Amino acid sequence: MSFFRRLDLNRKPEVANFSGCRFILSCVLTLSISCAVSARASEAQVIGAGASFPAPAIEAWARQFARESGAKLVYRSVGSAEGILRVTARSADFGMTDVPLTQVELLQDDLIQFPVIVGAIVPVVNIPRVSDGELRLTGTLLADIYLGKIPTWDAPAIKALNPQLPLPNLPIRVVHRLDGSGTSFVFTYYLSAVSAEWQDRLGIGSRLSWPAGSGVKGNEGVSQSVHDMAGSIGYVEYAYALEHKLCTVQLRNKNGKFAHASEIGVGAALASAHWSRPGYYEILVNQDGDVSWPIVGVSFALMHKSQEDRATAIATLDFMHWIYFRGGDIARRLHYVPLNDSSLIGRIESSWDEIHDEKGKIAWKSKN
Amino acid sequence: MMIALLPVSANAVGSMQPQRNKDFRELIVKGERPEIAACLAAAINYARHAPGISAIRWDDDASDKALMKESESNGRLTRSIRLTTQMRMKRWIAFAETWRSIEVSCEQPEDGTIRFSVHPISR
Repeated sequence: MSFFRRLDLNRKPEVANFSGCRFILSCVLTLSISCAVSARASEAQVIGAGASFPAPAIEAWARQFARESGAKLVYRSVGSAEGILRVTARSADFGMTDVPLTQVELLQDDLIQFPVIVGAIVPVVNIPRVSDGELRLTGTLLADIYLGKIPTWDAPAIKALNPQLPLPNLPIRVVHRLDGSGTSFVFTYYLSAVSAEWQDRLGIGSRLSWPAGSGVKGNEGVSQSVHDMAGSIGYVEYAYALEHKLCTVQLRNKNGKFAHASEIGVGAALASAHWSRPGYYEILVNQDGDVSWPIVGVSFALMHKSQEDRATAIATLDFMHWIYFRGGDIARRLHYVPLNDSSLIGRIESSWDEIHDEKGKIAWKSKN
Repeated sequence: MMIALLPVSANAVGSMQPQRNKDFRELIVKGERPEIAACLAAAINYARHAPGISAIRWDDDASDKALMKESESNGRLTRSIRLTTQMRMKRWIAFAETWRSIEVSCEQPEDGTIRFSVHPISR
């Protein structure tokens, strides 16, 4: 039978030039490495691709891991959907996604999934004479803004929550992601949880037919747009808000308290995670707790259970193991919340027994 | 003619076991929204085997407009997806075949069989 999807028929996955990029980037990394080389990790070059949400942490981890082990590791911040695409197409050794796959989806492509890092997704605004953390919003009001129902910053619904702020009669310019984005997935998951209208009209999606605003690529693009455009509102991972000195907002949480984005707020939401579903599927939005930040994203790693190259598989899992045991300080410095539950990490590393090489042998054994 | 149209005019229902699926991988590699790809793969599988249908298609707009929800009951997660595709109805002669808008609805329990239904959208 014929099968086509009109607009994507001729699309080629961005893998055609990937081997070239892989070579150039690996050369740059290799030249920068001066430390002792670990015999095991240095045998392979690891390519990771996916979510921009954890990219600052993964890039910093990769640099440190390379210094300590001599491994060659490259991470491409291309968005969650592209990360899933590249790991599926086997042009990346691991993918990072904030759109967790369910067991049904993991089974359709022989994939294993586990959580790596957690962080806040924060609405950010550019309103003249309004400073960081001053503006208060509720979830339904945020949804109404993204539905295009609130035209200006001095609209009565916003003023009622912020009587002390000098809100201008300035059009609200909504910024959202254009690419397939895990940050969008979690953000719209939150909007669906707090707004019946959002759930009925738009629902949850890594990519949507947004009713208002303009789309840009990556957390980087949203940060830059909001930074440059007066009257704008966007949503980004917290580290990007800090790096671009963007104004975050207070958001009313499930307990009715106005919360600030912070590691403590993310930690409070994380405390309610069970990690009991297949693939550790967990979405941490609108969780209980007085200080709980209501939009928390989890970045998951994806790998094929059947690996084509044993050395690369081992180097990838060595890197993941290093993240859990040595990467916490770097993550905290970048305002993420690392996973440090030893029981959870033990379960995750046990699940790596399912990963096997081309000869059917288990690829990774803990060095601890 | 009516027999040929039966699978969609009768609001067909079906299911698909979660297992390795070439269509799912192909959809992902073509850049489809990952969260709706399993539902689309089930729809493709249905169209491939339904006696009255010769092809299925949709465009980016339909993909972006697909409505996804998740609900939890007794700790069990179910994903619901609704999207509009077009299916080509078989005729006695190929050039007379026509495309018809079909709504596909999927229910995906987190660890179970994908259940789906299709029904024509009246004009």
